[in-house]
Amino acid sequence: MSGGVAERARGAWPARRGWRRGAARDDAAGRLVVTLPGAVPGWVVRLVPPLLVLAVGATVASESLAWAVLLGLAALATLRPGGLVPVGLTAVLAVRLMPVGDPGLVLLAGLVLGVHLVAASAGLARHVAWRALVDPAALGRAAADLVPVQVVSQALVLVAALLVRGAHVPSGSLMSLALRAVAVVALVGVLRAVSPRRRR
Amino acid sequence: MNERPRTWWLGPAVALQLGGGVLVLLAGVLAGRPAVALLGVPLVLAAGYAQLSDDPYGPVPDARVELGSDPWTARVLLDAPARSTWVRMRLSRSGHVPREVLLAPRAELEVTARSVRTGPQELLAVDLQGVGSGGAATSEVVRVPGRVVAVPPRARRVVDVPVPRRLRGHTGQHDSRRPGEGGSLRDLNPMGPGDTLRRVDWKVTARQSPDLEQLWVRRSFALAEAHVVVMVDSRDEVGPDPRTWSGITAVHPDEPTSLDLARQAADSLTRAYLAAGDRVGVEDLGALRHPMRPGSGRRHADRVRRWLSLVRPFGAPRELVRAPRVPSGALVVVTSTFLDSEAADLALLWRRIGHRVLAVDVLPTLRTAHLSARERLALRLVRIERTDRLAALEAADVELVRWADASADAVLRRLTVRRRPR
Repeated sequence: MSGGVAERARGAWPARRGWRRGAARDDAAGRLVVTLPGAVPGWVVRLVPPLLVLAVGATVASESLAWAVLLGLAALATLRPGGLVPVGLTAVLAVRLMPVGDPGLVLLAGLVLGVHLVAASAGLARHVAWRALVDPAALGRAAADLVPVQVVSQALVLVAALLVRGAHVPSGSLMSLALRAVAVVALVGVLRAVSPRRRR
Repeated sequence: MNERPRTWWLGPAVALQLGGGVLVLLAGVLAGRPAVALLGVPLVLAAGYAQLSDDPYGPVPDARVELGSDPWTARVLLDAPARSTWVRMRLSRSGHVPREVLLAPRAELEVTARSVRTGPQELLAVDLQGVGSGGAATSEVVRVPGRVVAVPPRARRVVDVPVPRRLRGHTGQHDSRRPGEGGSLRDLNPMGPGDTLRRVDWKVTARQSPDLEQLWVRRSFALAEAHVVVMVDSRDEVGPDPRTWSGITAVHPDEPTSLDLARQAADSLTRAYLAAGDRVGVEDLGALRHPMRPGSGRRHADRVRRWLSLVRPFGAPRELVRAPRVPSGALVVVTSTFLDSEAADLALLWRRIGHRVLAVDVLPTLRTAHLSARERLALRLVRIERTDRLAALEAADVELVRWADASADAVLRRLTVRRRPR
């Protein structure tokens, strides 16, 4: 093999650190070491929302179409975790539960917890880069923020299960009134969200 | 009207979750399916809480960067407002990959950047953003600029150093040519006026004059000190990769540049001379700075190290109108890459005047295997010129030491042996 051919053959290989004496360094810069005991790698946090989407969706998905939608949502949660992911998952669950009616207390409580976990983890993952480090105390604060909303949600699940036990709610019944009250609260929240805010 | 600028913004995820949650809730209510309606409850509650707790004009996080236990460690002291659930932090330092961290509001954080580089450098720059309401709200980004710290050179242990041909003064650790006190044995002589009884060598006297007609005394050389001037050529700073010489790409922090080697060489030689009781001055060939006047002692060594840690290339190199003045009979040490002729010309000039000149070549060992054919050709031309320059120096009796080589200490020792003054 002539020298030129040998040189071209060597050049075809990517230059790796330590592979050849005098080669270019592929790591163009050094690393900053952050002293953060128990830090969680960013990629772990970024993978939580898609895994949760698949885990929560698997409890109700049986058709290939539902699985396809769930996989799409998981892909979206991996690449662009944001508000669309929990809304999409809730929509899929709602469509699957609509004909079923009563999924049972434990499953319903699990689904409500799952939807909330997906929303919270997507909200966290949105601010974490793949190569970032996450302070374990930040995860603790995320879990602490989760508790009040989840307690109220689970209380409502319990109340609903006790009142109607999964039956259709006849109009004018207590459960129907309770549900309408919740809907009114939600509407007030929406109106406040869209109304112009005063500067403080 | 409030003139305060807005500092916090709610993201679109809040409206999306609120809207989606309400739709699912209403669909469940209208269809008479409480299970479906309850699925929307956590979304509505979480988004509603984020909406209600929103304060668009609230305080934003801030930070202060302080020097840690060594020049490579920085302490970030964080001041985060209570509404920040998390603080997003981006840490950056020249030559290092920026690092992102998501923190709970905490008092401080320690960041270490390993580097072999010395001289003035940015400690750490920090970008901060507060994240509130479970990730729904974000604050404006606050940039904390990095402090510039001067990293001192790490001296290499040098055992033997060459001394100038002419020694001066009556102190120091070198033997001068004059008779005096303190030095090694010069000769044995019959006792004369001025000789004290302490100098009498009784054994020699007994051998030479058994009847004690004549006393014999031991005479010694006087002690003297060397004057050394270290010239640091700070006009260019090049790394081992010739591709970085253009200045567009940064040199890897694990690789010393020519100026790092120059600082180390100047510091090591200065300490070696000062340890021998000599007087050392330091001067910068590239910048208009006050030179370090010749001095001696440990405190002078520390002053020189601080002075060297501030040496850096400064703008376009100035043209020297005349050579820096050097004390008579001093040894001149020129640390340079000799990539251009200025430092070499000065070394030749000082040699012609009669100074002993030590040229310390601080060009790092180059990595050339990855260069293209054109780059190799360009480097070859530069190397040819440089080799000719160094050969001219050696031909003019300028002693040459290549500091990047492991044999630099051995070369210095050889120079000491060859030029030992008598």
